[in-house]
Amino acid sequence: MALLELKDLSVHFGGVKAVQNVTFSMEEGDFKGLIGPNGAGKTTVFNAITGVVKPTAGEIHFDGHLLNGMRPDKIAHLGIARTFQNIRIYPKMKVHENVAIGLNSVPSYNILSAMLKTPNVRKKDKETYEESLKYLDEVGILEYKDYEAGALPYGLQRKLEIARALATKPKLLFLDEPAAGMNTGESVELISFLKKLHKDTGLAIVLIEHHLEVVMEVCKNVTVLNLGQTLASGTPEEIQNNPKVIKAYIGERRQKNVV
Amino acid sequence: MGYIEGIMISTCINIVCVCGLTLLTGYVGLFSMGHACFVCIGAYVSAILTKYFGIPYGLALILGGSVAALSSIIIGYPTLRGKLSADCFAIATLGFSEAVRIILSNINHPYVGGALGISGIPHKTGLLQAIVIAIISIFFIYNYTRSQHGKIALAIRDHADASELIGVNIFREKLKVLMISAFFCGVGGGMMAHYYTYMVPNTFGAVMSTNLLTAVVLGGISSVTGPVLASIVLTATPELLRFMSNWRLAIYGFVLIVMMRIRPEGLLGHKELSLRPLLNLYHKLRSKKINTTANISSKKGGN
Amino acid sequence: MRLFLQQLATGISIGSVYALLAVGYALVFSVFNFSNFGFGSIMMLGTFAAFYAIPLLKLPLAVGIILAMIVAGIASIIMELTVYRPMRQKNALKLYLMIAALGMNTFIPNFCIQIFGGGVRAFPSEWAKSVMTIGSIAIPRADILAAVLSIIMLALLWTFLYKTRIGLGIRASSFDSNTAELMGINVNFVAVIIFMLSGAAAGLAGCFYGMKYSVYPNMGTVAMKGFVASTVGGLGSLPGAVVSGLLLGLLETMISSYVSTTYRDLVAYGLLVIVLIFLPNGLLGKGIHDKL
Repeated sequence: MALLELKDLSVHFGGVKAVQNVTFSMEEGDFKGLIGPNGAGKTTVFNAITGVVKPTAGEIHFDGHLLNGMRPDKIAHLGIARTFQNIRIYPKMKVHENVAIGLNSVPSYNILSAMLKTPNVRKKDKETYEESLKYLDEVGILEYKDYEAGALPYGLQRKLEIARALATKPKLLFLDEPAAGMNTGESVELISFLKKLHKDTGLAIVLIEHHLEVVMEVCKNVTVLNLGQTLASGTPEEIQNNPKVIKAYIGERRQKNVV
Repeated sequence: MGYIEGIMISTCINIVCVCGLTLLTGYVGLFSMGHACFVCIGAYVSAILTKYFGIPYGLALILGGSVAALSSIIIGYPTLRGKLSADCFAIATLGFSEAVRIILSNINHPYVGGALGISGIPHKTGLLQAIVIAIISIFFIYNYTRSQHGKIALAIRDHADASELIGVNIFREKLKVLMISAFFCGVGGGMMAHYYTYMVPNTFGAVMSTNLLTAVVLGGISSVTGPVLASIVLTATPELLRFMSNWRLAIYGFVLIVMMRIRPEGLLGHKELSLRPLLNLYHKLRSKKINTTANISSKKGGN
Repeated sequence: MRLFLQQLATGISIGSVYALLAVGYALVFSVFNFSNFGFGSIMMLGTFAAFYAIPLLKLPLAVGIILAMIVAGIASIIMELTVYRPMRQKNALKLYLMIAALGMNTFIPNFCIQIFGGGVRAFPSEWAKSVMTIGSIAIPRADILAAVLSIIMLALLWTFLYKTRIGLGIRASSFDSNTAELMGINVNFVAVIIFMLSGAAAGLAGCFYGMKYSVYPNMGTVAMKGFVASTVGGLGSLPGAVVSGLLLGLLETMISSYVSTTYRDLVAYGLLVIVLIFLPNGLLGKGIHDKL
């Protein structure tokens, strides 16, 4: 059975059909891309899976559980993590504290112990600190551990967000436009970073991206959405040569010039 | 001397209440316009327990705080769930505060005393008790804010939706903090009842809620020492500036507006009071002095 | 039966005051997703303006009421321009805006208490106090005026919002102010209009409240009933605000006369809790869709 399975997923907001009959699946260790023009419904699919919006129709299965209608924090504990288009790290906290939230989204000691600062609390806090450093090291920002998170440059904030997501020990990771705002050089660095991340962690990763060169380089399989529906699905080569995909991105008229 | 002692005890009471409110408003970011009601509930419960049932002071304080904490669920459950906006919560705190005041003013049971309140409460809050409880409160809240629980509170304030997707149960955490804040206010209320030895429901109105909020706002969000200091200043100054007491509320309102416009994080926002700046200044001055002496002796030497 | 009709009349009259307050509050909330807790002070300022101007300038009641609406509208605009807008432009946390609003609601009434004295006064209109007899029930003229004028004002408001271009702009902004701005709607101008209308509603409601009860610096606390009514009706929904305002007025009056007068003010709070538990989006509200 697949790790993640979307069956005929539809999400409607009032009259807007953001997602219609989308079918998608992930096995463990897959690295798939989800692309499509703006408004295609990609982020809505992420939102439906992570529990932010309720599916109007269809089913979402993950690791043997039906996710429809489940609370987002429960879904997170089942093993799904994500990053955001507009980075949502905690700006006023230190870098390592951001990761610590990922490790302890449910406190590991009770209120009274916290107030008394028992030896157990001190021990757990120390363990959390050390473990968070490991994740910082994994994404390559260990030297910034004591910086205020909001002071980091954009690209490093992205990495911090990924570190925090990894700290929740997920089985499936959603990356929402990690290359947004990057120039060519930074995109190249991101490509090797993502490849290394996938190799080191063995996680199943879904990548939404507009920087097509990143997607085509790192993903083994790409699904294209347009106007809320699945347009095509296949290897990067197949997708790049698919006339329907080209039409959706560039438009019909210009296709003559491309050929 | 009794006068100064009175100010100090009042200050300690305010510190205990403010410790609770700073967790709710300064850390989680929930706006309450009616926390005086928890002070009220704590005061009434503890007073009735000591006066009519002979319960010891300390236990009565804790029970008063606990009842206040439980009562906060009435506000918390309907308004903190799901995507209900913070405005619902704020309005509910206002309504609940009024409701408590009206109910207590109109119950004619001899224990409660209706609009005339309760009098003849045993005088148990002396300077020692007040200071000890205040210090314990500061200690507890400070540790809480530095713990995993406190960090989660900050996470909820900065990015509640993202936190939920990381696995934080937003409703449970918010309710938790609400109950803790109600508990501390309840304990403060108990201290109040056993210091003044009498009280009426009208004491616990919008004025008290605004006083508490002003201390938190002035002192700084995400800070424990800030609101504590502000609390000391705000309690001591009205006494010293007695002649301005009529204008006190208008001034507080003005302070709130001005703070929000120019420095909403508060005076000590996100920071705790630390002697480090003073130490740094001291070291700086010392090294300057050494340089000056070195210059003088080298001049002499070159003579 | 007679008592029932009498109470019905009273209920509708106080209900129109609540409806006006709820609509004034909902107007601002629907566009800015923000509760103007200084709303009560605006109501008070408008009413006080009428209170002083009517005897001083020998104004007829109608002019006095209009003056109240204008003063309240201007006060509302000043609040927006001096405090809220600059804070929004600095992307202030919603928490800060609410605290600032409370600050104003604390400063203005208490400042007025110092200047004008905190005493309770009667609204300067003999005509309003006089009672009209319809059939076998006696209704104070003020009540009839309140109901009639509220309906007129709400109808005018509805026409403005749904039948004019500016109204369309306001409704677009209330749905999504960012997109509205990109579409060419001057959101700042819309903001001023909204605050003015909100203030006018408050001023009108204040006059009726003053006529029915009394005028005093802390009268702004009545606005809380408007907040509750708006929340019960569905935050940001204008029809919901009207319906809940009337409903609250009727419930309060009925419970007050048939059950007990002392717990009258609790009706509002009880209604709020019950509705929020069972209908979290209010009576007529729609869910808020997060845009992630």
